[in-house]
Amino acid sequence: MGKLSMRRALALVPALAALAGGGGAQAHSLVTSGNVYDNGNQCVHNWTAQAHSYNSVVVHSLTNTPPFHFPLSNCTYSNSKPPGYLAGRWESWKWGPNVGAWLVCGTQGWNYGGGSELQVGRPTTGCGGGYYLLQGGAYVYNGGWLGGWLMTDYEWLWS
Amino acid sequence: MRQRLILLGIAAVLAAVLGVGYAASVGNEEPTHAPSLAAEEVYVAGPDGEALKCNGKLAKVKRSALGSRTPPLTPEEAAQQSVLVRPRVKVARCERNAKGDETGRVVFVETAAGAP
Repeated sequence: MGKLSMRRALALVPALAALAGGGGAQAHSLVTSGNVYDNGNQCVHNWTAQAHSYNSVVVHSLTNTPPFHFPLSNCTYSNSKPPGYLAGRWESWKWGPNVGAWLVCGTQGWNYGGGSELQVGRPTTGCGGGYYLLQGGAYVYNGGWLGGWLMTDYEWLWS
Repeated sequence: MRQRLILLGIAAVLAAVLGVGYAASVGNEEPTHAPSLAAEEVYVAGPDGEALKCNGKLAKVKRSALGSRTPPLTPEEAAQQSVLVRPRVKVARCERNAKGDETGRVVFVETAAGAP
């Protein structure tokens, strides 16, 4: 075999390595966010994120009305609440290829807080390599619990 | 002789790369659908990360056993809880009787964060 053939053979190595690497999706953070409640005076913003090794939900209590009542802007201004008026919870789901269904890998009880922002977060529960997604619930109390749940897309994690 | 050794080395590297790629792709069966938010019963993961089996049967649990979909406490009740007492992560396990045998039921146990 000549030098040229040898070079051709060597040139194949990176291409094959890239091909092999394509079998496993690369892990990255996934975020789903948006207002899950909006009645004008009270908005609830849910920020649900699945990172490589961390699950988090951020609850924002917002309003349209600024402190001096001008300018009005949809769900823009912080709407601070007393302690216990904000609540967040997450559920981590893993795809079970053997059963063709999603499995609950782990969850956490409701966390409560006050102010205009509540951050709930924990390292992932670690159910081994697989496709994961996160569901996050964000609620604010305003005569009743107002809010809703969001779900991230799924991604492969080596968790 | 030297060229044969080089070729042999390249072949070994290629085999290793392809083997790892194949192994990774076999375990990467993509989800076919999203989890239903309205499902009343769900599968749970066991200690091995696969679907939990208790007494050899796939275990399903009531969705409500994972926790309510809306906060169960009033703000007043929640404010009375110490901020230091944060809920711990809960995972599903098979319930065992005093003899250590599985009863077939599922229990949720609290675990340290990051360690199921």
